[in-house]
Formats: sequence, structure tokens, C-alpha cells
Amino acid sequence: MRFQAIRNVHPSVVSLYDETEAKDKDGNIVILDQAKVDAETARLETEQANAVAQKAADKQSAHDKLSALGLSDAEIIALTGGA
Amino acid sequence: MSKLNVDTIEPEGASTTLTLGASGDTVTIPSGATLSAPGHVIQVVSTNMNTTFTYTGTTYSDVTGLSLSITPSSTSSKILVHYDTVSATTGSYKYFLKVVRLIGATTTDLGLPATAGSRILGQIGAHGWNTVAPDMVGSFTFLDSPSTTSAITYKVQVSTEGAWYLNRSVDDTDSADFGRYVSNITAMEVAA
Repeated sequence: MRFQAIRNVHPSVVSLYDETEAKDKDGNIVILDQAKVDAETARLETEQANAVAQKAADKQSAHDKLSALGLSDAEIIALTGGA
Repeated sequence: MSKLNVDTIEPEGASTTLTLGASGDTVTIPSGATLSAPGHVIQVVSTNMNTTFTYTGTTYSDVTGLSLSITPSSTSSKILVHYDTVSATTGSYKYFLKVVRLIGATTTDLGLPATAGSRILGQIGAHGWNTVAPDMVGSFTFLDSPSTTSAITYKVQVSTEGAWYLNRSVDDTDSADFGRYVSNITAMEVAA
């Protein structure tokens, strides 16, 4: 997540040593804007958490709709591969 | 203390065994002297890398920290090169590793398979389609014949699609669910 955040803030970065030393493709050290990297890391983490929550909500919604159509839990599992 | 100057010491009579010293004794080869012992390891250099490294790029690039230098004592010596890695990757979970030899400004690939169309050649690699990103162990050994007494650098290089993480998981959350690891490279000079 942090590496992706670094890449989003500093697109020239291709490597990160010891979580601190960032370099471009030519091996030049890239000075990181830590405040921007931290903010982007937080944004990506929130985005990921939201995606996980949305997936769970979609799954529950799909289950409820199938159940309302009269399918049993066993039938829903057989159909979808999950509860 | 006495000093014996001879060219050859051989077992006596029909014996084929020559013994130097006795149990508890120390037999010393002075620093700077060369022990000629074909097939024996006469020098070992190793680098344990316990920090993390991350890379993205589809061209081979050096893995910072996973390299070493060794200077053979003879041009006839072999160098047994070995490296181990623990890594993980995102994207399509595709990565390739290789070790190269650097003498002066000349870089040479070592121990790669034969060219096979547009396939990427590596010594260690992975290519998956799953949605999980397991931590993967890789290991490679190669017997090199560098034919030099110049300093040699052996370094591991990586190519990947997505991001490749060494000595850590893709998710590096600070919790007991995740780990940190150690990778290493070792070179042993074997007398010829």
C-alpha cells in the first residue's frame, strides 16, 4: 500500500530499499514528500476498506434477494458457492 | 621453534597417509599464503539481507542489498554461487530473478536456461492467476568459472509485473498476522 502511495505521488520511483530509500529507473535517489505519501497511503487504505465493505454489502444484498425469491440457504450456497 | 625447509613431504614406506600434528594441535596456513587443495572450499563470502526491498518494472534491475564481492586467489578456481529469497508480488504474481557476474564494467548472465522465444529467462520465478499473494521461497545454485583473480561482484536482479516485495509480504501491516524475512547470497571459492 505504501509503495503504491509512493508511486502515485512520485511516479518516477521504481524501487524502495528498507522502506525508506526510493530510487528511479536510473538508480537516482528520489526524495519523498512524506506528508503527501502519508496522505496518499491513508486514502488508499480507506479506498480498500470501502471496497471490502461494499463487497460484503453486495454479497448480503444478493443473498437477501435470492432468499426473497424463495431459495433456501443451501440452494443459494449451491448456486453462488458461498453463503 | 625450528624450521624445516623441504620441497616434498611424503608418507613413509608403503603408507599412503600423511598426518600433520595431533589432536588438539593447530595447523596454520599463514594469511596471504595459498593452500592448494583441489575440490576444497578455500574462501567464503556471504551477505545476509534482513531489510526489505520493493521493485516494479519489467526489465531486470539490481536488488539493492543482495550482492557480494569476492576475489579469487587463482584463475583456475571455481566459484559456487548460491542465493535464497523470500518474496511476494502483486499484479499477476509474476516475477523473475537471476544472478549476474560483474567484473569491472562487464556484466555476464549466469546459469540461465536456453532462449525460448519471447519467454523471460530466470533462475527463480513465479506466475500465478490467483487472487492471493503468498510469500514465496526461492533458491538457486550455480558453479561459476570466472577465470580471473580480479574482484568479482555477484548480484541478484529482478524483473516483475506489478510490485515485487523482498523479505516481507505484500500486505506489510504491523501485526502478528504478517512477517519479515531474511534473504542471502553466498559465494564459495573452490580450489581447482
